[in-house]
Amino acid sequence: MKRLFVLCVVALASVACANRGPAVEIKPEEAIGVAYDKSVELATAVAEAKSYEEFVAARAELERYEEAMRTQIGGEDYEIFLQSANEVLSNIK
Amino acid sequence: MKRKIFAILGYTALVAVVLLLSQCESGVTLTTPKKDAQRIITMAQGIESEEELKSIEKLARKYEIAYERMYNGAASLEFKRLTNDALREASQICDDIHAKNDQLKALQDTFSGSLDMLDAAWSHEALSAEQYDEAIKKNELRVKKINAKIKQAEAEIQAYSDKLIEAGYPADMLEELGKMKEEVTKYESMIKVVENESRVLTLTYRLQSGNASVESTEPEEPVADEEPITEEPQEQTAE
Repeated sequence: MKRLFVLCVVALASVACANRGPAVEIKPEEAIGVAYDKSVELATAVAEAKSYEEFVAARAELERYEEAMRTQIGGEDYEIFLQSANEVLSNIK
Repeated sequence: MKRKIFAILGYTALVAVVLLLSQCESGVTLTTPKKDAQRIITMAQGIESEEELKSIEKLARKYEIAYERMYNGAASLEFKRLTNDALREASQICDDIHAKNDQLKALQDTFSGSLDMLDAAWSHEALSAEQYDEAIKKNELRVKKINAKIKQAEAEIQAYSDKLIEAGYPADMLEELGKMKEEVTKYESMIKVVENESRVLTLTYRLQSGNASVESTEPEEPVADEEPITEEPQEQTAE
């Protein structure tokens, strides 16, 4: 029973990791670049996806960076990250 | 003589016990109003959340009460005077933090909302140009109809407000007016839903037909009026 439980946990963890990819690590000195440029690049990839699969992958990548900015950097840089991404996402014509 | 000394000692002990008990009751140890106020001021200056503000205000109140019980009203007032400004500033900081958190929440909501809308657009079944036009026209008509209802409701509210003033604001009429206003809010949120639907349809059509593009939001860089650079003729020195 115990073994089965451990096996299930390991399987769930590996599925979760496989879907999300490795965690993004942002150094404080890179925060400005990520906030201004990387967010636009990632959001543009989401907006310009040519298929649903491409969109899902681009969205996951954008959300990984959003999470990293929120948990590791925060503050004004995180706000700028969101603003830049929002600007691109709201300008899809 | 001996009895007198015992009486004095007994009285002093009683006062000490009463003072100790009142300190225990308030839960704070008093030093001087200035020192205790400084402690509160230092805490107030490092405030980072509403919970912290509340606990500092609570502590300051405990000090005030303790000073009032232990000494007199003057000590309590002195403590209050010294901490007042710091607590007011802390409250202001707290309001600012609150506003900033709200702003951040709005940004996060927009972010996830936009992504969810795109997901809905991709998950929607593909639309032909005709289907898209038809659906958009249908939604425009729905918005028009709801807008007409809003106008009518607003006119009714205006007429009812006049009656309400004449009647001297009775409670039942005020309640009825509230209901009428709620109805308008309901219509307005219906419009938002339809507009959202239209946005998803537009995105569905554009994304799935490969016609979507991201409009640049960056302002174009102004072209500087530069004078053409002319190379100065190099002096040739004849050897």
